[in-house]
Amino acid sequence: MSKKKATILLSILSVIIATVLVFTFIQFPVGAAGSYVGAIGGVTLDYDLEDGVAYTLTLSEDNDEEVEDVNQVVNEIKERIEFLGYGAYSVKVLEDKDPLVLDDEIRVELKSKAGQTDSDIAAILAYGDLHFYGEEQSDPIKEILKDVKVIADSQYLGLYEEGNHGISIVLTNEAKDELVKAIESASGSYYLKIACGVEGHEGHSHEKVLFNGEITKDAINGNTIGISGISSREEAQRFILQLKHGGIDYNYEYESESISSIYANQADDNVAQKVLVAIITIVVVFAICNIVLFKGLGIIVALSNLVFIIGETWLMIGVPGIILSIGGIIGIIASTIVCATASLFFAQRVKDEYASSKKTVKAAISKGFRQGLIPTINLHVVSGVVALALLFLANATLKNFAITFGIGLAVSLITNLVITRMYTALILPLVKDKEKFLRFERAEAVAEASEEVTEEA
Amino acid sequence: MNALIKKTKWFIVATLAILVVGMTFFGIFGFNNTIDYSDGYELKIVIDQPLDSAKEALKKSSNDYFAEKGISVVSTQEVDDGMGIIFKFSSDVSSSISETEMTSKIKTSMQLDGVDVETFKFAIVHGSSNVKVGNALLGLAIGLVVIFVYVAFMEKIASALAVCASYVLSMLGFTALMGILRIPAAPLVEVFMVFSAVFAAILSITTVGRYKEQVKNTEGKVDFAKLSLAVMEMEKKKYILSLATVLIAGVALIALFTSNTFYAGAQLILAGVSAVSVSYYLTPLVWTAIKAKKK
Repeated sequence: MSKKKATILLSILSVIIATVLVFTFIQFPVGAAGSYVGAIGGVTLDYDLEDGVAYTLTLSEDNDEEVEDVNQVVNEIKERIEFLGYGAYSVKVLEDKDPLVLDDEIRVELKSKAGQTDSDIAAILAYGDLHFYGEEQSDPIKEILKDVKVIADSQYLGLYEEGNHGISIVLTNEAKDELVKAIESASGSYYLKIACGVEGHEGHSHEKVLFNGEITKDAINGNTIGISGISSREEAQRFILQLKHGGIDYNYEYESESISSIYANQADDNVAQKVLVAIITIVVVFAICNIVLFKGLGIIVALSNLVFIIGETWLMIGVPGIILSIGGIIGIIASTIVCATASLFFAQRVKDEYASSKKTVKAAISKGFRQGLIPTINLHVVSGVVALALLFLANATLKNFAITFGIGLAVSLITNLVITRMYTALILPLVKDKEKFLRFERAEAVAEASEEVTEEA
Repeated sequence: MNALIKKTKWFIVATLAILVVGMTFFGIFGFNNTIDYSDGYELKIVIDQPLDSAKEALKKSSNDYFAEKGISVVSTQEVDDGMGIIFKFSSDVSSSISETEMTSKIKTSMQLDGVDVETFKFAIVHGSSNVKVGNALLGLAIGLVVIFVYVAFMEKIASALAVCASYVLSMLGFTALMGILRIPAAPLVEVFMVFSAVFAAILSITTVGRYKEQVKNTEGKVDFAKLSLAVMEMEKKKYILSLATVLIAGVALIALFTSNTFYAGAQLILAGVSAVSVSYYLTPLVWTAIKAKKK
């Protein structure tokens, strides 16, 4: 590449990177009410990094059964919280210091999601079992499917149109046969009502109706009933939670209060900002070390790593549904370490190639890249496999780690294979003494120099 | 092979010692958890009006009271934007705290008529550790199988075994070190178990790539032990720099975060040390042993 062409391309690239960098970190007011918060400000933080909401649960006075094992209740609540997709959360038992108070309280702390958390908690703490009612009149009260297992599975089907989400309910064979028989024996339309609550309460006042509508035999495809018209994905998830798991065995009342993050022990501790400072420090210190060790090659690696961190940051808001918890932060840091290690590996390869051969700088770099290609892909694939396995298996903190680590690995692979090579191709034509700039030395020269030093000594 | 064993003998001895001691500790005591993830005690104080000056007074007077009494607060959480505070303790301090005395101190400090302490409640907290190592182990096990197949396909069986051995031993080494040093584990120990295994595997995989190159470059008979020692020397700088990278990240976490995330930095350093040392010493040992046996 000619010097002129390299200068123009590098200038354009630098302007683009600088602009993106500014828009990543800068925050400024826009118009009267709004403000631009940058990529950093746009990242959604989880309960463990930002403020959340705490629910204190106390056993209701009309709770029928005595709680035998509160830890079992805690575990059930945890499973239900994770089912609804909460990453960081805390569920604790609060035993009163007064020995006369026998019932323990439970405190649930999680992220406050606008307009969703109260409904989520209502579904998590839904009391009782699923009940099915069917009759030839709307809003049926005759209980059906009483002594059989009814639900085999339930899945989210997707968004059909704005405000219309669908789910599937897979019935067991036994339940399907009984329901079809009931529909067939009806002289007119047949209505089905699904509710979660406690059997036997007068007028079923403790029941929450999950579905209430007409059902035909044709609506049952195999063993599956499709239900649409659910207003949001979150509502659909709550519906599925109760269909699959019913309610819990005890009737808890709850009240909510906002609560500070467990990581922010003092009110003025802005954890998100500290995280940002920590990541920037890692990148800057690493860049300095690279430049000291590899000089020109270190500058190239440092610039590539800068592109990596910008890419990773923008993907944190670009990929839908990411809520960053402390696990996610560690995922970002871990992928930064992998990216840095891969860069080091490349720099060392190229340097070794030049030292051990009689190749020109250009040829040594080209060979170094070629030799490093497969190991670079290998190390990213190996890490990616584990991230992918965890993405499907893990919950909460570990899942958050897997998401950001996986995204980071993808960005790191592109950075190491494309960006580093691109910067090398653009910067080297601008340098007169390439060996000096890259601190390249032949192995014999190093040996001779060390011999001279020894002799002088 | 003898030269290789001689070079790695301290690693073998140290690893065995750490594994035996660490796993014994781990077996007896399990992971150590912070107050937010284990059993403890707490005091919740809430005032009845959301006045900024009252909130400040509540915070200051409470902390002053604890300081006077020599009570150490492990951590605090603010409730309803400061209208209430939850103080967390590692031991039962309720007998050292007088509700009347403390409430009076808070009210005096507030100097506001009509603002009262609404809640003053002690509780024994039974913690909820979110650590589910089972999921991490299952993920790591699936990863191990896929990595073995992938590396065996891309490189050779000896390389695949060397990478997988580093992957497993690094994770075990990290767990043992956590058992010995009793660094609070939750909620990130599973994350660092994974990181330790993966980081060891990626360092190891770049090293076995070097073996492949060196074997290709060697004309005639190959002395695998000598070749391993030569590659160890060539790769030394890479391992030192990788360790430095982890240390930089760990120190940044320790220095810039709050007290809770101090432990994250410490765990990152342990995971990194385990990964770097295991992959540096174990990869050549396993690779050479298999190659020499095959020969």
